[in-house]
Amino acid sequence: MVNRVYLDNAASSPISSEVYREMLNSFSNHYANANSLHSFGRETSLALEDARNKIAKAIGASSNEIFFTSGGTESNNWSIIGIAKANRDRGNHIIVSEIEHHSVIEACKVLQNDGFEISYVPVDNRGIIKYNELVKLIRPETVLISIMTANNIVGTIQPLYAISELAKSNNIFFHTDAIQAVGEIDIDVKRLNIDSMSISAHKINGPKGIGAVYLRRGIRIEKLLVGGEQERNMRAGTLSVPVVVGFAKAIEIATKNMGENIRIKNQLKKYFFRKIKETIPNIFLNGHSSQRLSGNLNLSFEGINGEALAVLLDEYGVAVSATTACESTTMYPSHVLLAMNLEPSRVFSAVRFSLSKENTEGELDFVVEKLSKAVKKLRSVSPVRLYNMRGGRDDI
Amino acid sequence: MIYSEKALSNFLEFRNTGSIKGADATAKIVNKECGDIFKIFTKIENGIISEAKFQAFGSVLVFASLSAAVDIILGKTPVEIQNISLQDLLRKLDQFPKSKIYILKNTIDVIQKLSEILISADSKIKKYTFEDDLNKKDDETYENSEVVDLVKNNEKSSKNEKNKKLTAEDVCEIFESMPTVKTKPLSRKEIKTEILVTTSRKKNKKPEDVLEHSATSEDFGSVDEIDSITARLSEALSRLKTK
Repeated sequence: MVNRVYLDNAASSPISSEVYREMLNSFSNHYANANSLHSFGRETSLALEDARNKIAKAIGASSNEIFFTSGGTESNNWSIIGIAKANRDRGNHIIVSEIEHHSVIEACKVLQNDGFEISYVPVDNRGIIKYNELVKLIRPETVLISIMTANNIVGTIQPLYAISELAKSNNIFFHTDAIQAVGEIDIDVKRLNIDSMSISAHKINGPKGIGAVYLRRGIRIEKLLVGGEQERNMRAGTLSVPVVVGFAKAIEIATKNMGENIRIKNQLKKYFFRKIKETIPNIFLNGHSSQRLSGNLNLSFEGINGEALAVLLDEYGVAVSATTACESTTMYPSHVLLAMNLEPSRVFSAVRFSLSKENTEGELDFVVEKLSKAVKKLRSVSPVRLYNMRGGRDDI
Repeated sequence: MIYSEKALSNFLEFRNTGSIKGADATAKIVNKECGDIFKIFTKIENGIISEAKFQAFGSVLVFASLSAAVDIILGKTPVEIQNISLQDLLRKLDQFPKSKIYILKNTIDVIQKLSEILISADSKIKKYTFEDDLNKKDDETYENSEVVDLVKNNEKSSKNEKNKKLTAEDVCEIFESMPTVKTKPLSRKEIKTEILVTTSRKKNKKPEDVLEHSATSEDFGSVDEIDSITARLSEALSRLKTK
């Protein structure tokens, strides 16, 4: 009997048993500092480099292009601020999309106070960036373009190759936030002409507190953390090797079974969406119908506030996200949905379901039952009249 | 934890929801920036709020705040609910993200508007006979009207209260208000304004307090009427003050 379902895997995902075993083993063996001279330290260092190799292989990079960080936020902060500052002689203009994660947007704001100019590329109502607008924004002094590979809220996947080609032909560095995209898209940094890329472990059934930046060899970047020569003198601080080992295992699994995982998740998502459409009227699908992450389903329930629905669902045993985990505490609606130019009623009533391949149809049936109950309860007290009762008009 | 147990239970067990047919006063807020829409319906019986219900499209705190607010206003008089403060609501909700405090302020605004409507509606009921008279005989003086009666009552009460050490200022205010009623025929709205002034004075409210409550009503959607009342009210008060 199901009594609790977790559908917030895009916020953070559970550690898989293989990763857990690998980490447990590492915790008991790799306790020395990887920078120490003794044999204990050397063993730890070997484990660290082995993990680095695995991660590099998973994204088509070489191992000396991978730098470990404390997670996605540091990866994004460091890439944006570090590359911009180190290459200031080439220009002071940066282009990012309107739907970037806050760790990118806030980093840009830091740079803005430092004399940089930031331009934001708009997106269409499906969350795909407007390529023509991007072309128009490019100036001679543009030094960096940062567009996320796939969005965390609506799951829209960007046409990365076109963007990176544009950046390359204009001699601009290209950074991409691929935190949500690992295990969903076959990312080959060499083929895609990516100069810098952020990845993180805990979205792909790995541990929290670990991420990495891919930095193309030869790219100049300023340090963010100083006071040690770790990570080839690029990022100071002793790494937790067992956690890095877990990261490597997680990314290995995620890329190895990628096709199969996507197929399973898509199937589950289609089943789930069909069931919701059958039971609940007046819903909208936010985001792209096909160019989206396989686990992501972002829906608006007319007449209901997304946060209220998420909390009520939690009471019924279903964990979902009201827009995103970090935004649900602020009074402002999701900047991503606003950038997509959706009607306000749709923006405020959005809820994100993010499935994992471990979810079952039974669990999803349970969710639909609770969802229908919660939606009915909240709609019954809503002052918003649903004039046009209808089923979801979109399709995946 | 984002919400305290108290706030959360107020949401999960939200009560007094729905609408009231033939409500005596309804107030609504539309906060476009934050996507909140909510409405409170109230019904009055024997001078106290006997029934209150709300409808809401909003976040958890909107439901929690309204549930708590409705609990508070039930069984109180329209004048009593004017005094409900942020602290009263905070006590019922405990802890929530600081950025969402605007929801509580909006709730207070709605309650304040409800009380304004109820107070003015109350006076409207009293005034019906007088207004009918007004329509029949256009050039009749206001000696017989209830407004004047009200002032006379005040006069009486002030005389009585003289023994109770009423300050000269208070007496002065009451007398000063008389000519404004007598000099020209009052429109319906002006009457309301005057009533509001007297009602609030009866409750020993400072004029500043009344002004403050009225000022909050600018957040409302369709409040042309209230706005004009506010303007007239502040005008009347400033007139009183200067004299």
